[in-house]
Amino acid sequence: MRQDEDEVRRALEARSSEVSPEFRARLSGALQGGRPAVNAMPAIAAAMAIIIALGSVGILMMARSARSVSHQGPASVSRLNSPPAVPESRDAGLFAPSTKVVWALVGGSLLFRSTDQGNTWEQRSLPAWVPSGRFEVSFVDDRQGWLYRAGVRLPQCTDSGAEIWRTTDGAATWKPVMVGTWTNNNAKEPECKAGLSFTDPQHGFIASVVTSRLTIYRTLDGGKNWTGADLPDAPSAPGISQRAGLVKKIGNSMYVVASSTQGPGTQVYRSTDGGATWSWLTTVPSIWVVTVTESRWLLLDMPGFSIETTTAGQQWHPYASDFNFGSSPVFGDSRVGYADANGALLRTFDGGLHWERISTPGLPKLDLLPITDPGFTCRLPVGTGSPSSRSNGGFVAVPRGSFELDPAASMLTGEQQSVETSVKPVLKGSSGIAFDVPFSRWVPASPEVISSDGSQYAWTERESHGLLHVTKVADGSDRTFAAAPPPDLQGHGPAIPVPIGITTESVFLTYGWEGTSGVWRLDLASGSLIKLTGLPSPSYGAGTIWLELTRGPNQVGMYSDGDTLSRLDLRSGAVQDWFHRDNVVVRYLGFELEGNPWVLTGTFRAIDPRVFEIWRVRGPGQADLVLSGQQVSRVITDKHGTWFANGSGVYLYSSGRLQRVSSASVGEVVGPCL
Amino acid sequence: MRLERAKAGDGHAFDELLAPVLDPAFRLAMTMLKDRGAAEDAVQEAALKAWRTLGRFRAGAELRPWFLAIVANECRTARRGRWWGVLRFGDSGRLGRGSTSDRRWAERLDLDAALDRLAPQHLLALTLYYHLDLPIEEVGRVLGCSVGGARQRVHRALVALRPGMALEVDA
Repeated sequence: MRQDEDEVRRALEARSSEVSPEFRARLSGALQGGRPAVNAMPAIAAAMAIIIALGSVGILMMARSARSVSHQGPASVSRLNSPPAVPESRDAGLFAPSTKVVWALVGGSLLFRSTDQGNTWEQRSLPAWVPSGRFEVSFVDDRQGWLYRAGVRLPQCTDSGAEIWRTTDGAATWKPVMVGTWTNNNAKEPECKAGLSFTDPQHGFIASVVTSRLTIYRTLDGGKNWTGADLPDAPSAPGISQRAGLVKKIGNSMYVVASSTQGPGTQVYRSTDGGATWSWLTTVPSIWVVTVTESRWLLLDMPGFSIETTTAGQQWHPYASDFNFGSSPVFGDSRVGYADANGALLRTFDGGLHWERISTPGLPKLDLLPITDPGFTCRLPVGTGSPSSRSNGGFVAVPRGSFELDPAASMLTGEQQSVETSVKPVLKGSSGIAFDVPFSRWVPASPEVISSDGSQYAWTERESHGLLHVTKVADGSDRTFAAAPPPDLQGHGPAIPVPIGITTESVFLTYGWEGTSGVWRLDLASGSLIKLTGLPSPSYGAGTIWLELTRGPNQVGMYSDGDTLSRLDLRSGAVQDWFHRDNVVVRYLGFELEGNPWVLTGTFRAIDPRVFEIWRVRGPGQADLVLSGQQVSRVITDKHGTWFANGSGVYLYSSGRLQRVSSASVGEVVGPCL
Repeated sequence: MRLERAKAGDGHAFDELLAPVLDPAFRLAMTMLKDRGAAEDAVQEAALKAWRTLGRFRAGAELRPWFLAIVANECRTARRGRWWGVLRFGDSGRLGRGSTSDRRWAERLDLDAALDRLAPQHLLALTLYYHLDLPIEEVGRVLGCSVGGARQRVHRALVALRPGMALEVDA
């Protein structure tokens, strides 16, 4: 036993390595450059697709309805396997060779084809060794495709056993067409490769993965023979190692985007001789840039932060796409495109401006509610991000409206890392966004810390040792409170006040520092501070304090989350549990007009899909499940009912009925419907 | 105070906060991706993402499991991306030194190939427990499950790695 354990340790150690001083220095440099804004770091937002769950969770609990493909073909071809019942992963690799045809490799093991733009899917087969081998696929139409199977890797990143397989019958059968003969300048080059991409039945490309030199290999005979062509150095980053993406043919030219791991910028290269030689074209902001046409490229992020160039990267401008967190899209032509959004597919018919969700083949169908009309019209203020992030704001017209960015909601970075409105009178804040209805303007704070009459809001100036501000919305004037840590918190480390709620007379706050929370009431007239509880994870809503406590045997979640929502009676100090689930995270979402809370429950896991549920709590131990499989960060209640929103749309709960009133993909509701 | 300064956007503070966990984060990424460049990409993206979402980090929670979970997610993203199709082998230079006999070399090649075939969540569990030597409680926090769940995940990963290899996972 111990010997086996040691072998595992040694094998893992052999794969690992220490962090280099150069990387430490580089990372430090990147961090000193300032916190990344979303528009400055689109790659981050693309990666955020795995954090922002656009609903679609809980799907592993359902049955898969994929059809099997019968095993046909001559005896000489590889035996075809039966795919596993459910893929390990929900991620989908997408290939759109034309306006009608799209292929999806789901979970790295299930292959699907659609010939009607993703409306219906048919499962196709892969060689028998899938999924144990590492491979990539590429298709040029609904029948012809190639598969690159990496060989056994040897030191210095060589894999001379790599293979190219081909299908000409729509992935019913596969045949190997080449085994490990790659040449560059007439020399055999068994280096590791990635990024298989065919542009027609004869011409295909794949890139080397070595760090010393970047080579794009090309075949002119359908994959049998491959010859390399080195990419030249970029003027801005000579000698920098790079890794290339997929070669894309647009018009008569080939394009490839290559990332640099050691220097600034991502480079675009172009070949006008079919890939025989390459020349540097330009530098772009991110490796996630998508070349849609020769001159029109996109960098899609989230509403308000996507950018577009129509000059082949020479100038970029804001692009009002409603794309909201997903993988880098693929386009079948200049209009039709697809993207993977963490378990669901997105599709556009207008070149990337508007996106709609379609189900991922091989996985249970997303059970989204149909869009319905609630019987009235209004404009719902929404934010594009989460409560903790800076976000843009805008409105969704109810019913059936799309997200419209409001320029008046844009925030500027103010002094000492604060943010401030671009509209005068200037209002300052530290995080969050909300629409203040009485004053009809955007406020740089979360709805929870705006007083119910809309006249003032609370925020903390964190650079000044936690100076608490109470700002008047009418003119931007404010009062500041030192709100120093109470004696029982002093000596344990620094602490700053964090407002969680506000009335006309008081600010309810907690103190954020390592290991302590609790709730205090700051009297705005006298400045006195009264401790209400020492319990952790408080929220304020409907005149009471809600606490997320751990009552069950296990800690759940990666943020020390509680599994119970409890109510603190401000008069008696008594704490009463209202909602509990063992081994799930319970989070307070907001309250109804009657004062009852809503909660989100979730089985949080770092890798596995997360299962969320939204509950309406009617009283201690009494709750109704409102929606499964969707994650939201807040509910807002107004005269129409209780609103919430996420990437799958905007929802309204009223009189015991849940309606999906818009498919607009947004972050959160930040005010009542107007 | 470092945490709050970092939350407020102070790059120096966040750099200092991250420094102690950078090495385990990089080793995790290397083990998951087997490519120095990809691992550096993943850790850098994770660092920037962590900074950007630091507001979600609750005071009192431990930074290491939180950050390692973000790194693990970045590695998962990298693995699914078309940029990551073929991984490097023996980049650390530790494998295959002269002192290693041919038989052990072959065994490790076999075990390494088995690690390649492991599902990412299994590889992650083994890396956290056997390579980073995290306490099982912290493994659970990174994986987002209970202590019992973490123990079970490591056990399942071992079985998946080598059928018949059923080791006791210490409490």
